[in-house]
Amino acid sequence: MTTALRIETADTRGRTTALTVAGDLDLHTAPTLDHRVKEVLGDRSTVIVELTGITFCDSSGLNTLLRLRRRAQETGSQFVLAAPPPQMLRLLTITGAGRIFTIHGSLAEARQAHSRPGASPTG
Amino acid sequence: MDVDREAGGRAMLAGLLDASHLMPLDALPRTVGEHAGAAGFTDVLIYVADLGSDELRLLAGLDGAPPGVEQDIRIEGTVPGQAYQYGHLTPATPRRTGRDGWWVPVVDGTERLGLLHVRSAHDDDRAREDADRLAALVAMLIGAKRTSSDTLARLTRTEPMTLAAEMAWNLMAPRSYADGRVVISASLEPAYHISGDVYEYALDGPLVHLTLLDAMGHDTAAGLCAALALGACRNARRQGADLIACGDAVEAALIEQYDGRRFATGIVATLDTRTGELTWVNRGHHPPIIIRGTRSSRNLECPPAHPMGTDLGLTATVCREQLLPGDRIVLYTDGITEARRPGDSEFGIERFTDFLVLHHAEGLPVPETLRRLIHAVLDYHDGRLQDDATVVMCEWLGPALDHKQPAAGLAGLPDRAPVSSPTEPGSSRP
Repeated sequence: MTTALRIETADTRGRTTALTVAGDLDLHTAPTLDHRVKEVLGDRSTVIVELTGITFCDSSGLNTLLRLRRRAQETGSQFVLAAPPPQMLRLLTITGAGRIFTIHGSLAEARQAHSRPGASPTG
Repeated sequence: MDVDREAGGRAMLAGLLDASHLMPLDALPRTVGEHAGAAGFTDVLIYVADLGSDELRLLAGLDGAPPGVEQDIRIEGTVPGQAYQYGHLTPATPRRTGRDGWWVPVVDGTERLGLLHVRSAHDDDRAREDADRLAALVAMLIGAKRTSSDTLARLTRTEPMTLAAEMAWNLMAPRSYADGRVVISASLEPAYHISGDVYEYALDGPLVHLTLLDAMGHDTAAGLCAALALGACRNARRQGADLIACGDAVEAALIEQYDGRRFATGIVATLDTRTGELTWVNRGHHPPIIIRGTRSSRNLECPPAHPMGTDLGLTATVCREQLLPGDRIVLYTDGITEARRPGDSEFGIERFTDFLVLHHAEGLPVPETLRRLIHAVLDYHDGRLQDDATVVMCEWLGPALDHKQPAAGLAGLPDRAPVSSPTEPGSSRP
């Protein structure tokens, strides 16, 4: 029943990598995202995950995002969410997780906020 | 004559009670048969509802099923099913006489366990009352013996149960409870495959504690996580922890075991039945819904603290809501509203609350409302749910423990028209 998760690298600019993710983010597919983000998450880097194409996200998907955020913090990096669709936004809001993630309305917005040297996240 | 009848009814109940001390559940049908005759009952059959409340199944016992007796009866669309659904003693045939048989609801506390079938030599209020009392005692005996009966566990299952579900069902209180102050009912689906959802209600003097937890994932590990979370919450509360401390205890237990790899969301709530004040903490979960009157419902908003086990540091807030007598509080998990099929819309929160409000207005017993809700959710998804779908509903009736009549109706208890002391035919009743 799960729709496969597709992950593409939108671009890499300096230490900032933008990934575009589409499909279901759930128990079955979350490890794929986990693996891919960890590959590109270096020291003091930024990973932006563009989520427009996510068709469903469950608690396992959310947990993966939380763990990736923590992993980023541990390495002085940033893990940024861009354009979560309504169902995902609802999940983030219900769980309170929306208050601890850096979330941008679009990939362009996220890129702009995180491309300037020393830019701080703008929630 | 009345003296004989009185003595017969008493002999039936006394005989069964005396026999119950040294009796496995398997001997219940035979033992009931032996004693029911004292009150004029013959052909007594005990049926229990399966876990999904789809069928009534014969508890055959030591002697096996009597010849020609139906072993499985559908609940939907049958006369016995109707007796089960509405909680009324129901004549088995259109002739409506005791000799032709009655279906009598078997209800333990307020949990609908199944039905008795009896034929009665008498056909009056006294006989109906005796039949109800017999069913009540059978219910208590099943209730007392079921935790140690594989016979009953097997009989009430229509398919194999997963390991996570096996653990969960043995952790949770019966799906229905009521007294003069509250009516509580719960429903979990897919019943044979639940993994991660657990509920609890606990009576604590004037307080009623309500807990609903949803552990992430849908596997055995999710079931383990949920069991741990419920145990931690219960354990802390019984040592005097308040709502926030209960949530913190769950968080601590999950972090110790899983180090952030698993979490559970949930609502931890307490209703003070003296005042109707509901207090609760939301740990990353869907807000409770309050249903008031026959047409309105709304979310009980409260800033959520983070899901337990994630250690995100969001502050937990105790929120409060003053209930009115008759208000219903609904806790639920996302399997109810967000279950999905590829390309299809979800059941949705609106459809969910509309359903509850509509059936509240119809005045159906709470357990029957939930049974129909779950069937509606299942039908919507062609009988297949990917996520656990759980609902816990609690109606506050008021502060008085002995104000039992409304609770009896809402819980779907058998109608019990009291047998008055003998009155002259035709004399008016007060």
